[in-house]
Amino acid sequence: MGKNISYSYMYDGGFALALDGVDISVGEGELVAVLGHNGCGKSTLVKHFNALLQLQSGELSVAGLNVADQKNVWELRRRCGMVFQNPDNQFVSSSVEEDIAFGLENYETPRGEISGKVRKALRLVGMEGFEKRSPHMLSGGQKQRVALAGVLAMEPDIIIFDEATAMLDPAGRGEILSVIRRLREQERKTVVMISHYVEEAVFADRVYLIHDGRILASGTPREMLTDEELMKRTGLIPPVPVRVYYELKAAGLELQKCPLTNEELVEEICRLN
Amino acid sequence: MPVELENVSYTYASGTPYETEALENMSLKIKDGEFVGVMGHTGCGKSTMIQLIAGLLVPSEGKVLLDGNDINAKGYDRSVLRRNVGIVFQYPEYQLFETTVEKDVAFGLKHSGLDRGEVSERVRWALEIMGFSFDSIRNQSPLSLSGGEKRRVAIAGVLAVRPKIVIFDEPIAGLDPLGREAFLKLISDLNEDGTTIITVSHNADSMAEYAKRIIVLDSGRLIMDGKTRDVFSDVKRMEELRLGVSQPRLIADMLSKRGFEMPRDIVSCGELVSAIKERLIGGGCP
Repeated sequence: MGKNISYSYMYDGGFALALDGVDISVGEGELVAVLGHNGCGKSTLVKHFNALLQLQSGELSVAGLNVADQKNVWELRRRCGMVFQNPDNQFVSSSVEEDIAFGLENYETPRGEISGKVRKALRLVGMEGFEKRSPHMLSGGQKQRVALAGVLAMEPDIIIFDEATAMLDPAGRGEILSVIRRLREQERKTVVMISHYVEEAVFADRVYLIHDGRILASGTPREMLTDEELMKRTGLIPPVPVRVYYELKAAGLELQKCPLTNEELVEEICRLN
Repeated sequence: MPVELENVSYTYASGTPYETEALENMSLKIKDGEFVGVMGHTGCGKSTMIQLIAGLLVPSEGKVLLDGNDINAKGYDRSVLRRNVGIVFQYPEYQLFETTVEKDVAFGLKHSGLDRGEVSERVRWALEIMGFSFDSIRNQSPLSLSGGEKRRVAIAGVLAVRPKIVIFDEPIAGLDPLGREAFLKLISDLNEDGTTIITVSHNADSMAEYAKRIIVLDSGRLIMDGKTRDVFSDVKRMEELRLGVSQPRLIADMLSKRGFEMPRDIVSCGELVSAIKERLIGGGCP
């Protein structure tokens, strides 16, 4: 999908290279997690996918559309939706249904179709019955689901979550993650998820690790997250089961394989007992 | 400098259809040098509580006492409050507004009476403690930084004033794992040096590891208050409240269910590992 992408932010006194020759490809229907520490360039990278940032060098096509071509911008933004970290920044209206309809109206969707699409989007995120509520009076997880519904109403092929769970409490995070899984399984959407919660990447198809504007490694969650050395170089902390595995190993207790989930860890320890 | 809430209630939008009682008759005392984690479901009143402590809201009923003095009484010198109680909001990046990072962090010191050199030293100290290289960050625009970096700059701005009590509203949300660890270690160090830390957090794992006392709010009431270990050991209650249970605690419970007995009071990763080691190697004396 993208080749050799570089991007620099310009300042008064110079520029900072945020992306340095990144190659990335995401297949149709894939769930890809992009992990990296704060400031590593992960948000910069995905903001190219729907032309929020203009490509400075390299090549990138999303859903078959060349992002460098200005003519494609509207179509790109419809096909590739984005949910940000702080849902409050994404609301434009005083009622949930109007907020979700906002994008559709901008794309001149015929009036008769709008309410059906809004309802469908709300159903997808499990927020039916909230049509008339004010988005600002909802809980964090509910707000984020409404923001997501606004994106889904556009019927995009690709959805990008830019640390969409970072500000939520555990209950809210669980809500969003289960919606993401459902989108992948039932709606066959392509999902790109940016996060630094390694636990969230466990159920991805593929993981990219970004460090200082470069791709450090990519592979399955198991390949990436159980590699302590690699996690350390990326500036991330492995999931708890992986940490337990390595600490036990250091004490001379070797489990048969490195577990990725709590269940696997429990299984391995019981086997050893 | 102890803080005390005395039968405090707070009602939002009093007299309108949106009237909500956010806090109900809460009494609480936080002594010098405590490290208090405040937990509770969204809307439970935690943010209201810390804003009352910081003097940003005035209680509808009851008193907020700092060092025994009512901070909302007529004639109270509020500069005492401002100098000693620092607050970092949930989205500290909204606190940034200056043209350079250095100026932004220095803002709180403007009327502190410190000379230029001292201000500059303080700013350097605060930025370095937040993990920045002072020389490479000082002239950048705070608005050009990444989300996590903005957050750290905003925190530096509060720390530069060296308040005796620092209140954080969800300080680690949005920080990456190493940033999170580094930040928690930093506030632990500040706490070791005598600073009182009051922090709201949803992150059960981090609170289990660092806080010494946990208070839990639900619908504007204080419903749990105790040593971190005691509060987190009550897995059933924490789950009922949808507060999340620390992952090591969860794993320990799963192991116990499978017949691999684990102590009931494990909350942190280190404790889990030692308990497993002890069980497998035997007798605790390998």
